Amino acid sequence: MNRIIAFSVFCTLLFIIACFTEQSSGELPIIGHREIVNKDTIYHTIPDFIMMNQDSMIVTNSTFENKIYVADFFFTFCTVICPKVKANMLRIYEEFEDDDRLVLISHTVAPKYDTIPALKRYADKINIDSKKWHLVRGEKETTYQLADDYFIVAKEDPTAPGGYDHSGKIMLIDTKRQVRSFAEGTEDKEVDRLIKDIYKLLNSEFGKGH
Amino acid sequence: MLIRLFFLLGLIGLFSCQNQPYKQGEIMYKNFCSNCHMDNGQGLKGLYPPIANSDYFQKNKDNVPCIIRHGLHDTILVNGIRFDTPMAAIPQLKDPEIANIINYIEHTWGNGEYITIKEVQEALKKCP
Repeated sequence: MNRIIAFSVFCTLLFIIACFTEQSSGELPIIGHREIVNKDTIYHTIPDFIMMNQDSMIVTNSTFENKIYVADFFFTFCTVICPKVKANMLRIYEEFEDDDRLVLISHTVAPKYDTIPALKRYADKINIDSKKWHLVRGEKETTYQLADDYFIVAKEDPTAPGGYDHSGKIMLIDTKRQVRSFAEGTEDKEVDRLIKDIYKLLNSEFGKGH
Repeated sequence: MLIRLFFLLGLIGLFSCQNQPYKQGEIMYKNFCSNCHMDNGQGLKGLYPPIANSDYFQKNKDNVPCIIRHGLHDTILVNGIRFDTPMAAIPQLKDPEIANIINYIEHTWGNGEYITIKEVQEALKKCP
């Protein structure tokens, strides 16, 4: 009899511990270098940027004010990893189509060829709304510098297929410009997890029951 | 007894092979085609056309080896949707590899009209 009681106490304890660990894993980490200045922790943030989207609209950080967003880097004529990453970005787009607290941004790494009309054609072909998903073009150097801040590799490389080398990561950014999660955009399972992380971040940024 | 076991194992091996007889085609499809046409052959919206259940593929079978080798730069109509994203040539694929890719596609999504290496070579001679 005692054994049964001991066992059920043990089980209850396990259950409680499991509950707490579940809760503590509900908060996403803040990714990147951090500094402690006067006892305050300064986290890595995405710097100011000015880009132009497929509708010739200016896109800056203030476009994402009070929103969380996902970002990736691509070029329209890329046939290596981009199409799969785009298919997964589309999944995110469709999952959160009616939730205006989340937006998407895709930076071209080939601004020389990806002109605004080229981005517009691309956007039309995948049938996306420019208010929800910005395909943007900026100065080459600015874009590559920005990629660094997203922890993404992006550069011109004549030996790479299409002439550009970039990683297929999809990054998740919070309302304070901090990187909170990421996924390899070519891996469906990682993107499944990223979608869950987006829900978590929406809850922690905007509160539950929205 | 041992002979029977070997026979049984051989039979299992045979059946598991039959599941996907176009192993090379599958690998080649994943390496050269699936980036744009996707693993499930569905393509990507208006950007890359589907290969699975594609009327264009079925109607232009004789031309498919040429498209794989030389690419495609026309605007085409697939299941009623216009596509104009150019497809790059894949000159490094050998004739038997092209045959294996087409047969993998036929086996997986088509109506099983398989192609021989000889037919691929004949088709390649008549490329536009």
